[in-house]
Amino acid sequence: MWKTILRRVLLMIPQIIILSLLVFFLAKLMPGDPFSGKITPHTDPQTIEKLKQQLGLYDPPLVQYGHWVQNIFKGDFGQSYTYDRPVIGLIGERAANTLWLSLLTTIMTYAVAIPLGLFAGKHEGKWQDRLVAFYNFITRAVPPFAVYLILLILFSFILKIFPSTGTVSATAHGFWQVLWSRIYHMLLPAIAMTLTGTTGIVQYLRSGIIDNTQEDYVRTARAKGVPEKVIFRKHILRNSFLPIASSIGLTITGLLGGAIVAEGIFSYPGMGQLFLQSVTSRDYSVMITLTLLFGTLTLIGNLLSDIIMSIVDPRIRIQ
Amino acid sequence: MMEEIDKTTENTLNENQEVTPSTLKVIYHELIHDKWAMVSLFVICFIVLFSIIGSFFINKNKLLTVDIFNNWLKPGQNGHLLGTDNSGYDLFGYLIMGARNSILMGVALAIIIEFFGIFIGLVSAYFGGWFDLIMMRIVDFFMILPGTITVISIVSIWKHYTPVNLVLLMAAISWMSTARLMRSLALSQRDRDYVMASKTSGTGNFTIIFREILPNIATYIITDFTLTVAGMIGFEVTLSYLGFGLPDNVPSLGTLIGYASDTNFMLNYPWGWFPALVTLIILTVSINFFGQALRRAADARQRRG
Repeated sequence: MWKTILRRVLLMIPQIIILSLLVFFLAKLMPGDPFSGKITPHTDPQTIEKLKQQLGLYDPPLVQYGHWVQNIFKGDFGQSYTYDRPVIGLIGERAANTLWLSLLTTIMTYAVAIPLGLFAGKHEGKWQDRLVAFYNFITRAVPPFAVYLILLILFSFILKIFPSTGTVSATAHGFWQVLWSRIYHMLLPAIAMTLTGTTGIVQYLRSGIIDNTQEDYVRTARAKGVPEKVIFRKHILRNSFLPIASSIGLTITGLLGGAIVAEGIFSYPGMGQLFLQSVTSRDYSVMITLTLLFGTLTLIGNLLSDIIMSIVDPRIRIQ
Repeated sequence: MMEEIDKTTENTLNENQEVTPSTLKVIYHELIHDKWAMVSLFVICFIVLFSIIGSFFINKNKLLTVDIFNNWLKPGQNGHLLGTDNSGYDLFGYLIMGARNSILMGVALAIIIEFFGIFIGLVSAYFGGWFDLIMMRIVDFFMILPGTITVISIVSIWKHYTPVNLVLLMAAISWMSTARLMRSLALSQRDRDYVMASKTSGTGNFTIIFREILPNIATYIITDFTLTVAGMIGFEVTLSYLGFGLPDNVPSLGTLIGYASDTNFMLNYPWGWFPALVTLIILTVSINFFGQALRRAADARQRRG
């Protein structure tokens, strides 16, 4: 098992290199100097030439790439000209917001999906199963952004239950108030992302339970006279959770993609919203760093997924 | 002659317990009895035909003429069936054009994705070995790209891109799951007796792949195609809503729904975004429903009789 994990981690190194080369290539297509953020659309034309010399924009591409990677290891991602501060601090603040939102969404997603999957799997073919299937169908068929938009209009603007922007209200004081205010601001986006993120988990769990119920070891246990409750808990449930465990990594990856649309619609100041703003305001250094960051996080999500899979399911080994 | 062949295939299917629904006839018989699938098909056809035929009657230049004195007319005023928007565009015409463009985008994307996915998936599965290994590594690499971000980044620095550019770009980050699906389907067929028999009698590899394996997984391809269309319409509309989809001079459902992103327009002029949102939801839900009915029909274990 350790061999498999090590091999899988080593596989990440070329992936990260290719990813960084791609991002670098993308950045070279952008005007100015997206690596330092020092040449922006507002730079005075006379100083551009001087700056270009200084920043080494006339060096061979490979040398420039080397410089960029060196700076990344130093934690220097350049300046954001919109906010006039180093990119790394700016992203750090926003990343915390996205992290909290993702954490809450993940907890809620599993809290909703697991009971639904169990419910449907236990009552296969009955009305309960159909009800869950209907929920699954709707949350899958309607494009996520339409779900977000409907929830925003309904709960923030028509019913005015939830705030439509921000993370913490200015009037909150003390630890508990701030905590509640934070959760209260995150609740609507989290509910929205939960609705669109449960489909896969519910279906895996449902079909896992249905498949496992027909397995030989369940029949053997029944024949031995093991009580139904114990059979369900020990034999059926345990095996049904295998694919769910490995879906955690992919859930993280899905959250990142969803965060861009959700944060944009709910005006939640996380990394996704920062990315959209940086694209609109042509803040290239922020854009490049975020692209690299999202790519790296996607990689890590896939890595986690594979590692968990190889731990819980000995049948799967990377060839 | 055809019927005789069909009868014999049905007989052999009944004799061998290994049922692979290989004829589209089976699906047709399944669907024709599925009332709701027929309803959803009717809805899809209605929206598609209405928007495509309707777009022939719309003068695009007239539609996109800014008429600032007549902006935000309420539905029904001055003969504007759904009113006008911020620039004075007729929203009914805009909705038809938008729906047409979004549907065409979705279908074009699905065709490209299926084409590539089928080719790569089938050839990889059939030949296996180093070709398969390299192909799957390429698929893995595309899988780790953050798709939406990549598209937005490229579109934002690409001056004057056309809808065709956008289709190719979106297809480039969306073909992998189909390729994987096709590969796994083809793997299940590869070692069957009929392939062996064909090989032994000297049939060429590509003939076997596209003349023999392909028809046997045709039902799954049609299902995947349908669901891909729905997914891609959603993807395009999302991008257009965020402002990184179809270019400004090309209407999309997403551009119309985009009016809801401004609080003022959202609350005061709901006729700007509401019809487009409803159209989008009805369309994607119907396509998905039909796709699921297809999947049920194609899967022998889920037949309703």
